[in-house]
Amino acid sequence: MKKLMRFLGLLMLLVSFALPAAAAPKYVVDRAGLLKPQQAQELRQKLEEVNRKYQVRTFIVTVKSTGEMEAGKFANELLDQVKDKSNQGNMVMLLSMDKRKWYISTDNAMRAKITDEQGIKYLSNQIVPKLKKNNYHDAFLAFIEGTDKMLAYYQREGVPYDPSRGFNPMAAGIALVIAAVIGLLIRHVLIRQMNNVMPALEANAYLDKDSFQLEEKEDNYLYMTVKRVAKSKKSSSSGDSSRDDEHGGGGGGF
Amino acid sequence: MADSSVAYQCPNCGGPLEFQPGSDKIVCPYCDTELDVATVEELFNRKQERAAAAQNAKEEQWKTENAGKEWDASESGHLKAFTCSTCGAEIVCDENTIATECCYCGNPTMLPNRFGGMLKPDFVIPFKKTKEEAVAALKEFYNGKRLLPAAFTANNRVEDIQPMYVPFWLFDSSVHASADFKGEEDTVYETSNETVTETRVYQCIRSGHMDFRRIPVDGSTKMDDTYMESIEPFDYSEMVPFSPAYLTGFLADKYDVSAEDSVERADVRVKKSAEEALAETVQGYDRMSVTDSMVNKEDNQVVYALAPVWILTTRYEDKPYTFMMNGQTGKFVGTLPYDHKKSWMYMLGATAVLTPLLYFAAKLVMK
Repeated sequence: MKKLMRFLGLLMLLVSFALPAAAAPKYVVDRAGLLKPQQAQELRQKLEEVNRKYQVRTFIVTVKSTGEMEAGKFANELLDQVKDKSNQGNMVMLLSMDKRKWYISTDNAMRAKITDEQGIKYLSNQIVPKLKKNNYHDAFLAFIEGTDKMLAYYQREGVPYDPSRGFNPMAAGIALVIAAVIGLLIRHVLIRQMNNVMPALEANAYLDKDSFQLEEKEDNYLYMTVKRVAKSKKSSSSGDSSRDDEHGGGGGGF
Repeated sequence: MADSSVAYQCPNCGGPLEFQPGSDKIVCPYCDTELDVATVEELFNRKQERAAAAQNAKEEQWKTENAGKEWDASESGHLKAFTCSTCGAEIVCDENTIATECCYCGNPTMLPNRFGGMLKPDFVIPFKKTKEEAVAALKEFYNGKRLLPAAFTANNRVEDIQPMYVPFWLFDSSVHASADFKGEEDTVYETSNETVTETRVYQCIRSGHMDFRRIPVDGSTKMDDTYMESIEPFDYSEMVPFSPAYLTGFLADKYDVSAEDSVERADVRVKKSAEEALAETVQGYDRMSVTDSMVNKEDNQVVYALAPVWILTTRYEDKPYTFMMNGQTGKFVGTLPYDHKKSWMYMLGATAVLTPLLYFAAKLVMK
């Protein structure tokens, strides 16, 4: 435990060290060494631009390990250390490379703009595929662009960005296919109405019910078959969560 | 080794079974189904007996020789036959009737000839429905048909619907039916990580006796059998001994399919209904299907009857469309043309209306 606290304290110190009172904070801290200097610089500039535009404080932090602490708890601790309450929101995106975990931690002000459900899910969809390919620079770029998009939406609309409000091509495709199938069924039913000529396959109407005499009735057990179907295991769609009253966000593996 | 094994099919997968006498279990090498030897032997014996019975049993023949009688000279003198110059259909009517068109092909030119010999019907079911009722039924049949081309109804000559007595063979049959059914009973239970369905399979043996009364098979090749079956049933309680008087003012068709040639169609229906009657006694299973059956006719009679039918054949875009009404019960059947363009418009319209609704539903589900 002491080792863990020491490790965390050290990281806090490193991040805090990069926050001289008068200068701009260091918004990209690549402790895991995933980025080239030029890439880190590019990301830093873009993040500064976004932070300045929306008066928020957003960080990207990579570490080799969070020790025994969960990535979400680690990110929350980190956020508490670096957040500026005078801003319109604070957020930390953390990558922990030993267990290949990512986590985005938000304070309540940012949580109102980037919601735990739709907002984090949207960011997850943008960054996780790139993280899985070890394309960290592009993943962080996607994170910054996604954040920019959602904050701009909030500024413009006054409500958090919800991708489900926008046009969904997949839903449109599914709807079109199902509607076309129903349309074909309706056409088929209308065509069937044009013809009521049906062959008689049986002679039930001519069976003298009173004449029926059952002469043999015997049921013999033959064999048994057994079919086993494995139950589907529910998987957590939102991944790891270390949410509490003070922290929002979400994360998972990659 | 050949004489120490017996080949037999697995009742589950149909694969060949082999078993060693003296053992009490047989396992199918294909599906691993485990069977008792006694069960398999019982199954085998029954099949053998049934096959032997089917091969050896002398098939009871329909007694068709008594169906129909010879015309009296005084009766045939009042009848005339028409042969359609277009389709060759032979139509019979009384001397007072002049057909203005063939009811089969709609051809308006027909030349009457003197009626020639044919069997006299045993019975006739008199017309009960009038021409007004037939026209009203036809118009009602058009109603609500959204794909009906407007030109079809505009040019349709509903008033030309004609009454016709159609020749039918009516088959009486007493049968002994025997069938094997496969009954399946499911028991479902769950373990911590599986849903297990145990299906117990039973062989259900049923046999019984039943009588069928007056199964109709039309005796005219020109009459579409499917149409004739569609206007069934007739109420035989109103069937009366034949008299030429009933033909007055009506067309009548002459049979050109013998009773012997009509037997097969009746037999197929009898077999199906006999199986269904036995199947109704197989109860208490989740699923049931017939695996083997045999129907032996024990006593059979055939009579020749004329049944009343209102018929109209009209043409649209060079294709004939026929409508028929049971002249006794009023049951109306027919085939209408449909407007292909309209049908696709309905399909596209439904798609256009449903797509937005389904889009929002899909978004909700995918959220």
